Amino acid sequence: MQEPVDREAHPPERFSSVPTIDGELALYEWGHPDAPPLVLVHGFLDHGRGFDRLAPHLMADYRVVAFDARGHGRSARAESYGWENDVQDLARVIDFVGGSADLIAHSRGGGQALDASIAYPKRVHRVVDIDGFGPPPDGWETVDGVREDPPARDDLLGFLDRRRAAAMGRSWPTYPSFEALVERRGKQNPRLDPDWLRYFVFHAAKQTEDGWTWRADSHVTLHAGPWDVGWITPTWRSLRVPILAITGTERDAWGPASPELVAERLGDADYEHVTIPDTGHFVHMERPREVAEAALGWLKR
Amino acid sequence: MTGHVESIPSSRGRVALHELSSGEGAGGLGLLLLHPLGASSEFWRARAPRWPGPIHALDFVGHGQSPPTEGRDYLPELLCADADAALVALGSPRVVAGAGLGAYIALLLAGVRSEDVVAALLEPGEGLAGAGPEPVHPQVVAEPAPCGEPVPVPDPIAIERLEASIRPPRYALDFSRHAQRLVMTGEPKQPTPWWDAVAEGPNAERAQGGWQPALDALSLA
Repeated sequence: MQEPVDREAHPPERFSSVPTIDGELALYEWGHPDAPPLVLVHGFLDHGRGFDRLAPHLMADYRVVAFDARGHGRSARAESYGWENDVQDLARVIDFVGGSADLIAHSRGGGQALDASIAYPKRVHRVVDIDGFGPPPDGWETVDGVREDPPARDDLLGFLDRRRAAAMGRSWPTYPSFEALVERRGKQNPRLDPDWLRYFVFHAAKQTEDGWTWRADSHVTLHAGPWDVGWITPTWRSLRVPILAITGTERDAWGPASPELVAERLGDADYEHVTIPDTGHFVHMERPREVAEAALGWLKR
Repeated sequence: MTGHVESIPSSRGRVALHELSSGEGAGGLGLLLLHPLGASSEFWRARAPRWPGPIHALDFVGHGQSPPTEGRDYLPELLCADADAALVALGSPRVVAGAGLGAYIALLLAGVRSEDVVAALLEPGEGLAGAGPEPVHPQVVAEPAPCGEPVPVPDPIAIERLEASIRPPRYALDFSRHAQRLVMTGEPKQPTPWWDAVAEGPNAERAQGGWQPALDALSLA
């Protein structure tokens, strides 16, 4: 199947890979290799090509580097999908591009970028965080009602059952056609432009003997343990990196974080908050030009 | 004791499960043993437990004959999934006994697989308390380990991460609430809030008189 056309998307100019302790990560680059590095960090169940609309607006002055997180996109599957594994992988990517970088990170990637700035202050120069501030304390309100964290025992039960399924080789369902996958993702992200949605899903998907399925490892949710949303704010009291927070205004499958939630999470951190109106959670996909303008304006100060 | 060891699948590679006794002729429930942090099934072999049924001991990942996970990530819940894999391999119902870290994991397993684990015997030991009941902020993410570095056994990263695991009492109680029966023997050497909360909570009893007598009492129940 041919890559669907999206007029705003610009494919990477270079492709490479970064070794990790247990696999490797697919890496995508735009812009001059000697320009200052700008590392793009995608969110859960997205992939590095999700920045194909944003990268063209950044590449004039930067070496723009996106990658597929472990178990996502074209990156290798792994046995380990803990939060720490991802944060350590981000450090490896930064080392690959010279050891220090500015980051533009979305959603789960945003949370990981902020944690990386605390763990590895020499590696992380500044962070543009696009709606990656964690869930609100009482859970997200969705069309089906408030999505709450399950009790600990039920959470571990689900985890152990998924591990048993993993041991038996179970994975995502296979869809009969590419369009069926597009429809599935479209239901989760109804705000995305149809051309972009097809382009994005094309790079998130692969064709098998039986049909189409996701490239991502279905076991990327393999994480468990005590965690409380209330732990985010005290951890982020240790943030020292300058931050640009970018959020939308329209309720979406996830988020967006309200300015009040951002303020509570970031506390006294050195940050500015830009809100882009009429936009949902995937701000960099819906409004790449505006996101790039805000980010570049801030980074160049 | 027999010496048979089997490599069983868990979804993150394989783990070593040792048969300490076939329990032939004894007709009792099987016993699964979970060792302390930094130890291995050898801990149990040295103790030579008596039990009227088959006895198996699991080596946690990065310990004994179980290889480290390639990603070198370790949490009690991840190790609990390997104990769960042992339950699948051995069948249930079963009695589980753990020491130190193994006791905490036995608690988790007894709470989740409440139909399969008829009783869990918990005793203090290395790795019992973890990092305590609450996180210290920020929770520091370690430097990424160098790629291709040979990993010693036990994996030092396993020791470090498992000692850093947080064990909130209310979290532990969510498991003991569902367990059929928890027998707790001995007293922790350092303050261990999760242990105290579970011992005072539902489905748990403190046993006096030592580990083997507590095990004997369980075999008669």
